[in-house]
Amino acid sequence: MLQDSERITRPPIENLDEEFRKEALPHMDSLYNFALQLTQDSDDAADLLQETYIKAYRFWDKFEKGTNCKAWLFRIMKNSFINFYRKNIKSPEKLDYDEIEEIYETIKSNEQNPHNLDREIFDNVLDDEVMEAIKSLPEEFRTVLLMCDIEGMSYEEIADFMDIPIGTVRSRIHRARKLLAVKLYDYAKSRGYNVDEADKE
Amino acid sequence: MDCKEFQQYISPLVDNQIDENKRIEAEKHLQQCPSCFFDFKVESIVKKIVSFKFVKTACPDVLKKQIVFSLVSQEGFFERLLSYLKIIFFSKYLRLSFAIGLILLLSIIISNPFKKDKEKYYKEFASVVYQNCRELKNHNFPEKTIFTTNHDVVKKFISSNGILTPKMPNTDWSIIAAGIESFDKFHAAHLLFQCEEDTVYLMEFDINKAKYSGYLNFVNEIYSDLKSKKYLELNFYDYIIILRIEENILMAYAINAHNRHPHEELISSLE
Ligand SMILES: [Zn+2]
Ligand SMILES: [Zn+2]
Repeated sequence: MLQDSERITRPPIENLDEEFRKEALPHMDSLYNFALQLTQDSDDAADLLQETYIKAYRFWDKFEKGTNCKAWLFRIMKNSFINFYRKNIKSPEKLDYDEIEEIYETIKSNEQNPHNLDREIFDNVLDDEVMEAIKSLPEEFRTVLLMCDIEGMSYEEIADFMDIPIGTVRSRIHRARKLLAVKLYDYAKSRGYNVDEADKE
Repeated sequence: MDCKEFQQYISPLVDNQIDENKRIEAEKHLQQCPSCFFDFKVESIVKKIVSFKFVKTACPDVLKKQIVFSLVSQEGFFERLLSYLKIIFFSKYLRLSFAIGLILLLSIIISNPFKKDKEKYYKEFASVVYQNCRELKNHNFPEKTIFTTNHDVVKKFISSNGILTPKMPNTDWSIIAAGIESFDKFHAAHLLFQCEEDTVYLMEFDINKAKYSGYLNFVNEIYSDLKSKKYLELNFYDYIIILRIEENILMAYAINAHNRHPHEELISSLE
């Protein structure tokens, strides 16, 4: 039971370091999303987020003021994930990239005009299908793609964050998008969009 | 630039992460080569779709609060450790006996910081209730909130939002507002009551769903504590927090410690 002497005399949030409150807390939504992408589970994501913030708070004096705080937090999260969570996650099925390449080439030879793809297929794809397609990407492709397209990080920042060469960032993004293109095309077709019709227009 | 080289620059071109000279070369190739243009276009479309259609999930408020509180209790821990260290190094008795100091230090490390004990769960939960209470009193209501004085409407609203058997205080208070906060499969109701001049905050949730929240350990503690008592009272800052379990619903009231009347009324209704 709480004793009188242990009453907290200030509201909790005011006990936090002010710089930390201003710099680190606003990124919670982005980090939560990243945690969801990494873990694919809301309970694990919550744990991972909490752990990331506790570590960040503990090592706050190690953060170089004026540098990118979000990138710093992302790095802490990625490392925590690798250390504690990855072992619990089933590794996604190995992907046959050559096969994807083949399917892509078939689509390409069927579609001729890429403007049709934009108007008729991709604009009709559902949000859920987009999420599903992203989810199906191998984790290392997904992370890099979302850093780029959702978090707006530069290739250099991503390379630094992921500890991979910039050329690898480039090729992962390129492949991730090809994979998505094939998936989304497939969804559009299975939802009844008639590809041949679009060709005739 | 030939097709092979161009393929390497598609993504940088789409993402605008290419230096000026390469961009000019790449764009020149794009105009001459329909095949590469197709690839470039597809990547642009995919980028557009991802940027526009990816749905960001907001971090649930409950989780945000919980994290802030866990950070604050971290700070509490370090401050506490520091003050223990000060005692050790500034007390002349302890300084005389380094061995005693060491033993004390070890016992602190073993017993205090790494054990998430009962008191800590209570304190964490009390701080959540306190913070919620303040937010409601400052007119920060959850997104799903209704403003009504009708108890039945409130009960229906809560039960249709994840808490099947909501409980109401057995007093003559009138309700002001009721909000629901959902976090995955966990739902918490936030209620504000008027008792004459004073307002009383009540948070309630289904303890069977506690495993989907951060409160599971706390619920386990309080569940065993409340077996022998009708309610529990905690002091937190300038508030009195009264905890009670009715059937499977945990109810946490927050009453300003200066407001004697609602406090007395609530206690007599619980006896
Ligand atoms: Zn070409
Ligand atoms: Zn009254």
